[in-house]
Amino acid sequence: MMRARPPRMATWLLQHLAAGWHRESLEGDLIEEYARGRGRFWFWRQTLMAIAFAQLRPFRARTSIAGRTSIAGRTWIAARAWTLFFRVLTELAVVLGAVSIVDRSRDARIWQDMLNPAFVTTMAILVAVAFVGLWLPVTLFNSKRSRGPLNHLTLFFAMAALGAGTLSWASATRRQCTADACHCQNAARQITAPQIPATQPIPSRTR
Amino acid sequence: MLRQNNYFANIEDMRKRDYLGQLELMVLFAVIRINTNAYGVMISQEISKQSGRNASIASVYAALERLEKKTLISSLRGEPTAERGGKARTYFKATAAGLKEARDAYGTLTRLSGGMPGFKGQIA
Repeated sequence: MMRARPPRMATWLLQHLAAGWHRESLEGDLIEEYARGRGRFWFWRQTLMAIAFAQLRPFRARTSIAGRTSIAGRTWIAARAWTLFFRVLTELAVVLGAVSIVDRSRDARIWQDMLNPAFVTTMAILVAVAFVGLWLPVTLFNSKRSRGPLNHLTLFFAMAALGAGTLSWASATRRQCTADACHCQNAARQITAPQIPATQPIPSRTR
Repeated sequence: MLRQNNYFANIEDMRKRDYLGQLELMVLFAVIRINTNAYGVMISQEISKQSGRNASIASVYAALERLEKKTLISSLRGEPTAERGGKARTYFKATAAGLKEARDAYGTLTRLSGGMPGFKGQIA
């Protein structure tokens, strides 16, 4: 008896990230085994391994025994390692930038609040780091930027972080509107106005 | 004249692997052993059955790719079936060079392990 379809997400990842030699046959083999009773965990494990093999394929050819022992092989590995380092640096700068924007936007009620010197400096440094990370590998190693899985994961993370930040910001703003004093109206004035509790007695000015 | 920017690009074409890895050898032997209609799942199962170790289908395909690049095996595409979600099987067969490589590897391992204590009559 045929089982239900294999996990859609795993199949999609397999099609897009494990592209290459005999990918279709590999996918067919996994679907066939899944239909014969293999579990979802098995399917996911095989998918992730296929992606890992596909992504490491160009690197593996250079890190063989012969590659490691030759000067050319060592130079190639060093160049790849530095390229990878700069790319990870860029990705990190982009992710940190996205997180910083989200974090700052949650505290600010209007966008002008975000433009304090510390935040602007942080963003400038992150942009500079991202630029250096993009520019150096191309200049030093003539390495073109590929659409690797790291880029997709970073994009996904940035989208998720920005989406979650926007939603929580909107949620926080709505909650404040239900309070005694609605902070949504004329937000700038509310921020600067002193917050005096209604029950607190007004201090006497006689002395 | 070679520009500085081209150093690393040219290095990519400078070397090729000489020796087969352990998994590649096991896959080559499994393909020869199955003889006809050897495909990914079957090769993986044969390796697991004979070695007692699980070989993932992805790693088997990676080894098959390397073997085919070295022209030690050849592939033939089958018909797509509904059981496989409309994907075709790829069948593998050892070439003459592959058979020779397997024989050489077998002979080398036999000679190297000959006379070693605990290896009499079997390859490690």
